[in-house]
Amino acid sequence: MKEILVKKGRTIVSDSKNTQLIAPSLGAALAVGASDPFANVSGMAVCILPQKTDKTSPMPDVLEQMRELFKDLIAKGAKPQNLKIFLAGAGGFIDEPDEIAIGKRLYKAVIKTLKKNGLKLSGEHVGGPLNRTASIRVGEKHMTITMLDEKEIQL
Amino acid sequence: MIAVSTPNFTLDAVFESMAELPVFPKVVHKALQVLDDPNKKIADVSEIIKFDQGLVANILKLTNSAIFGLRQQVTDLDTALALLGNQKIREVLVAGAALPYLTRPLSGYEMSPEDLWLHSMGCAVITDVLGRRTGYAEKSTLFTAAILHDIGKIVLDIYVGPRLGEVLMISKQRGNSFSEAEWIVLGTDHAVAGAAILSNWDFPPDICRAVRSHHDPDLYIQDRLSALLALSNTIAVQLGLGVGTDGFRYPVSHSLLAAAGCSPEDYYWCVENSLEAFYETEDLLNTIME
Repeated sequence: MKEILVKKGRTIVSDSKNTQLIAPSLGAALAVGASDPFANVSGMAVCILPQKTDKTSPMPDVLEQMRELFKDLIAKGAKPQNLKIFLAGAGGFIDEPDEIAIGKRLYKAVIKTLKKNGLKLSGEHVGGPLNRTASIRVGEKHMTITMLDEKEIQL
Repeated sequence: MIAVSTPNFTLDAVFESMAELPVFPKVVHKALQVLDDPNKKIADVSEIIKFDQGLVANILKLTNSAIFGLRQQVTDLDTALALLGNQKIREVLVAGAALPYLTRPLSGYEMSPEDLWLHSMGCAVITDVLGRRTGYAEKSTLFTAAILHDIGKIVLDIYVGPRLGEVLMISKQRGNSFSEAEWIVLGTDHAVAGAAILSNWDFPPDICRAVRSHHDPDLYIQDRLSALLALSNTIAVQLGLGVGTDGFRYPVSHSLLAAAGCSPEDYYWCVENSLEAFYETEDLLNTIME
């Protein structure tokens, strides 16, 4: 099984068999994973910026990453109606001011975008004081979540 | 109801145990004093540290990693120091001396050797970005505090590692912060233990205070160095840099940004630029852990 690391601020879409997309130690970042099992294509965007402060910065914000993810999925043959979409991450401190609550802000932005585009969520494991690692095997309709000191979860 | 045994591990025990921890190299403090003396030259720093071969090897490893930004590979100490300049020499000295402490596994915190080093250097990279954005002058002090802020975890892990499972259980089930749970089970926390170690190693009081305060919202908003250290630690956890089992199990003060002299816009700018800066230094971990 080939592993492709998806770093924060990066978006990767693959149609290669025997490949796994993995986003380690998400922190407050939100991994948006999507798979079309019929087209054997999967993608993951690991979002960390709710909004850019500098428009010339190379680091994309969450909306730019969402656009890139779905554009690339469709370019590789995925159909919106077949997509299984998962969210993981968005960890937060046990008490934190709203202005620095990156995970909550990312989650709101992603949910709003999915609704606006008529896309349904198939599963999520988000929020709380948890640091997660998320992975998707290309073409499979699941996302796997691992955490320190916790059992593996399959969405 | 969670059954918790009475703490039998007190601050006194930490102080006793610290005698067994290797001492931070005195040559580093001497070298830092030389750097403060306008009548001394960088060659004088080399004279002091050149006999500590382990330290010199670590300094060269760090100097040749992307974090210190030299365009050429260097193989001898004199060239390395000449190319780095005063502020970077301070940073490389502290990081080089801290390396043996920060590349241990911390099983009680479920941190691999890579995790603690990644978290400490991640915080250091973030403090550099934060310091530049918010105009904080004492960059080397902030860097030193960032590198060493979790040193107390080493002592707690060595001497009470097995009981850290109880700490996590209390934090999860009762909803206490990880620091509160450390106090309930151990009678101290890693920030207090860390400050005691640094004080014992003759680090300046402002660095000891910042390390002592880095998880205490009432304390870290009292001075800017402590607030900037706490903020860099917060961002490092949010970016998932070397996060242990305690990671998000702390409260963040609603006054932290103001105390650090950082606007919400500055904060997001720092998150964005810290990540970019960190990606540029990714060779560091592999280089150091070889």
